[in-house]
Amino acid sequence: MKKGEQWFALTCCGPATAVVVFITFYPVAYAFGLSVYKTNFARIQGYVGLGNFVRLLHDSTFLEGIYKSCVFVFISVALSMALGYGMALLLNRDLPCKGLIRAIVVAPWVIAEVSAAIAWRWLLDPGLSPLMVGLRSLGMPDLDFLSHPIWAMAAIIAVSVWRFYPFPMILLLAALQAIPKEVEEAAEVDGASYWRRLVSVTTPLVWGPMLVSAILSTLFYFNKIVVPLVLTGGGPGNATELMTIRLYREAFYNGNLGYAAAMSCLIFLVNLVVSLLYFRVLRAEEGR
Amino acid sequence: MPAGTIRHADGRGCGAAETPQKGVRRKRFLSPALQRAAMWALILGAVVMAAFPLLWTLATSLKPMEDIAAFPPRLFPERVTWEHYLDVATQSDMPEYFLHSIVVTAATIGLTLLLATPAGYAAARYRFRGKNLLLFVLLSTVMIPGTVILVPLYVLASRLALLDTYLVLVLVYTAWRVPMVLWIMKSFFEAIPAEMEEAALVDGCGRLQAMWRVALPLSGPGMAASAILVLVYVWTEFILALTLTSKMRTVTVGLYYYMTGYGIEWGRLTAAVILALVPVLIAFFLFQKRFMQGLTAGALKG
Repeated sequence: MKKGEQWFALTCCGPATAVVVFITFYPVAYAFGLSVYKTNFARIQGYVGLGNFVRLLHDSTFLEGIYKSCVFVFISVALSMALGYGMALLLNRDLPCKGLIRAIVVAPWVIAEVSAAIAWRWLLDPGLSPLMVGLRSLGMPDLDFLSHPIWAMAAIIAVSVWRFYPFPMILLLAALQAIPKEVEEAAEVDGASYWRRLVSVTTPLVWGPMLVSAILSTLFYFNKIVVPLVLTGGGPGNATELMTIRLYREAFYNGNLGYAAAMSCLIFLVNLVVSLLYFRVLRAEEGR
Repeated sequence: MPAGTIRHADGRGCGAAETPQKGVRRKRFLSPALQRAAMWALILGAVVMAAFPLLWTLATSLKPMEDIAAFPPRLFPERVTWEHYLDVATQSDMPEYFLHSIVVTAATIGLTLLLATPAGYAAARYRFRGKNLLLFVLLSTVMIPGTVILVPLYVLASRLALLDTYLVLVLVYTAWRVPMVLWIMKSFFEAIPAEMEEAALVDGCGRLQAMWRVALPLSGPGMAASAILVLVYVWTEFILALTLTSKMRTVTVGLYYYMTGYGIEWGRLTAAVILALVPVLIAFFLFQKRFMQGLTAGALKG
């Protein structure tokens, strides 16, 4: 290795690395630093040590937020994996207009989350939505989804899944397309029914990608903030106040940035653990 | 699950258990025609689910006020009107927010390419000390979610008096997108043969010149793809822009404040939503394939 090469390469990579490190890694460290202070917006009011973390453990709204996040993540991941795999199976054949179908199904994933949430808020409008026509025709009363605690949770789950399930779908579709045709054909010749082939042949072959997309989905839903913020803002009351929404409210409504930084640290640690799991799974996959 | 288990299950499932039934025509759950119909029904359902909220938004934006307030609502506007679009363009702050978004997007694309292209080039062409560590560090940022650095970024930006400026958004977005673009450019340069640059080096060209004059002109498509992905990210980003700006709102933040304000005028709001969608949808339908790759690559920065 010539010295010139080393210098040239480092000069090329230096600025990019500096920007990334300063703007993504440094803030994480800063969050840990900030979490030991009491603040009023950006003004530091005093050192509290681990006080913020102790407070977290006694903060019933936050603990409820953890529970709500878990419910939200669990149901959303289950739904989007089921829908994603189902759609991937449907699209994994020779269909007319396949490209167009896929593009339309993926479109919600591409548009801005805010736009999607606004569109849904309008669609869930208690007075003027076509959904109400549907409800009435089924003989049910009008329903203001977003002002009912459980329906509001269902709504943020549904909208999040609506927007996100194309992601596992694309990953699983790619995995399905990588299975050689012969494998399925052999099973078919042996007389295995479609369901039998699905359960015993196809699904085990995409098990790895499925695990990968389930972990990525978990992270994604866990960090979700935009859809609940726009659709319900955590309400009614604090019925849909996930951990992330609690963090946002605490930081930018109440100005307790130090306390919110402690929450950030906790959320970061959860992300770290799940990410490590992800890398492990990924390595196991590569080793196969 | 190890591969051996799969083969075992596979062999047992299809060979041993099913063979005795061979020749016996097993009852099918549904006839082939019905199966086809069911399949198309499901696909159609998914397509309608995906498209309906957006089409309903589009339909609303084209309806006159009295039709929007009518119940039961009509799916299609009876008389198409452009008044809401005109209102958004002339009587709202949206044009200003579009300008902000355009400036931030353009600057971010420029800065990201400026930083990530040489780095991607070096990573593709040179072996140097610390390279693997560097690539790992850059890639691992994908695992840091925006929610976590929201609070520290706000405090840092306010310390540096950068709140509510173009600069802070451009810097943050750039840092957020550099790893992905670096990766795209790296694989792009790896696909270009190195012989031409080697020839240029032999002819007495410096390394910088070899990159600038020989490799860069060939990497246009890679840069275009990266630019599109950055465009969509910046254009649709919301939570950082909401936190780091107050007056200098981007389009998504503008939409949010419009919605949380008193007395939503749905006609106007839906028109603004549709206008904000246009650049992204155009980019999407033109570069679908790149999208699928890019979206899965940068998926975690939600």
